[in-house]
Amino acid sequence: MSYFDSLRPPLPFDPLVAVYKDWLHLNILDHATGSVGIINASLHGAPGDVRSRAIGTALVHTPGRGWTGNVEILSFGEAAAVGRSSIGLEHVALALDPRSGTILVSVEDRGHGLSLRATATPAASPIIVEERLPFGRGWISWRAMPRLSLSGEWIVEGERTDLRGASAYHDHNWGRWHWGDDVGWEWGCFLQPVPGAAIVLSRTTDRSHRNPGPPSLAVQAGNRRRTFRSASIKLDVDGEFDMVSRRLPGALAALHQDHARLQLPRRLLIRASDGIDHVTVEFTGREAAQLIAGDPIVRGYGFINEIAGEFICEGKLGDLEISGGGLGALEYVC
Amino acid sequence: MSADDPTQAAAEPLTLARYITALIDTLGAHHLAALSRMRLVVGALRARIALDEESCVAYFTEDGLVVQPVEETTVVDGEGSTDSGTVIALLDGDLEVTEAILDGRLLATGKAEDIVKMFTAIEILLDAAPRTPALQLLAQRFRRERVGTSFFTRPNRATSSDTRAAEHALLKRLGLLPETS
Repeated sequence: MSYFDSLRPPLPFDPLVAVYKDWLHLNILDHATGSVGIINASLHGAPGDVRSRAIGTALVHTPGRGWTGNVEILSFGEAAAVGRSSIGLEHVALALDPRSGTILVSVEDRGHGLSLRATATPAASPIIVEERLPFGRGWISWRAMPRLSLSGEWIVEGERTDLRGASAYHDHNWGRWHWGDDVGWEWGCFLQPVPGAAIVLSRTTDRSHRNPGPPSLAVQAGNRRRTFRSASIKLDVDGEFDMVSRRLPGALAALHQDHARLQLPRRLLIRASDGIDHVTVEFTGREAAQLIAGDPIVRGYGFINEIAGEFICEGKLGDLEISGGGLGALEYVC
Repeated sequence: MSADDPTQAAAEPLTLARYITALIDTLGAHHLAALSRMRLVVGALRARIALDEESCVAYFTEDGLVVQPVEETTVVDGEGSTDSGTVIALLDGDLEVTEAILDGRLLATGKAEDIVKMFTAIEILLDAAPRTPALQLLAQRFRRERVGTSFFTRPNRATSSDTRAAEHALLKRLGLLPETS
């Protein structure tokens, strides 16, 4: 499979260099324990600006235990090792093999109860959106890998888990926007254990989520892929206020007490049908972690709510029936 | 790099008074407008600030920030006290401000309007931090210097049900719960 992807640093004379963003993200869904891992490494701001920041996040939500892990923030030059397709911080590192799309992830944050070593190998073809989609005053592009197979392990609060039976999802986002712009997104991955379905929901919105853009739902089942778009998708949300159980980094959580009890989707019902194929996904959120992104250049904040939970689905792609449940992670950004 | 640079790890551990001075100096150096806003908010109010076994009085005069030792005769408008473990747990997101207050790990006393001004001053500082690497370095230095000291105990992370129970206990203690028949 030809994959070719790498970080997208700004070219010389890019007029929007100050709002450069680049984001490598990996979700690990361990079906055996019901745990949901969210690992990402991201770059915010112009590479040459001392205010620019690299942010590493490693969090695992375990039923009954809640969120383990933390967020790490460093300057580009200070400690973050930024390669062509890798971002390494003190406690969190993510590297993408540009040719194969294989992801290597390492987390060593014993102070916050989390160690992780894993290799995630693509098990589907990528979703590629290289066009510059309008996003607030800037733009966003992305690539996603709906399913990756895993080898490795994590240790959460002293409990070791072999991740060979787990599923993984990866995306890479890049673009130009300020945190605090009138932007948001709803992004979810819902994975059944192999050989089940891998389902990816995406849509950008304004900050209030009252004016969403057209959604997209990619459904991968075996070697089959169907992508539903726009009017063929209906989303219904039941919100709840008591879902956020961890907010990071703490200094920005202290500053934004008004966001401690946001109304977030406890239940998301996705119905997609193009008249031939159809899929219904019902996601139920367990708990959310709120990652607060402070813009390093201008005053502004984005609130990235990572909701871990379960889903059930049913549907049909051609003659292939889809049914059953799995684990999901829904990202609700405002 | 100056030997006196408070953001440098090699220097002697900073006292509470030097941390306060460094935070305000750094804010002024990078965000003069934010410092002006802070001064406008707090005016001439005097705050007694206590951390672990240290305490000092801080206030602004026309010449700038004054941080001095607490004396028996010192009169203040408000008081805030906590410990290093609580500050680091707040920085790590292991503890929310409301939980720290409900648990009694973060105490703020004074007239309501003065406490609001004190917290507004802290918010101005926190709001500048994402755009001010020197403030972030001070936070990192605080962690390095305070983790492992005799004052450091990491509080358990509260759950939302713990918070509700603590809130209920606080309201009951203050006689603010509705009467039930």
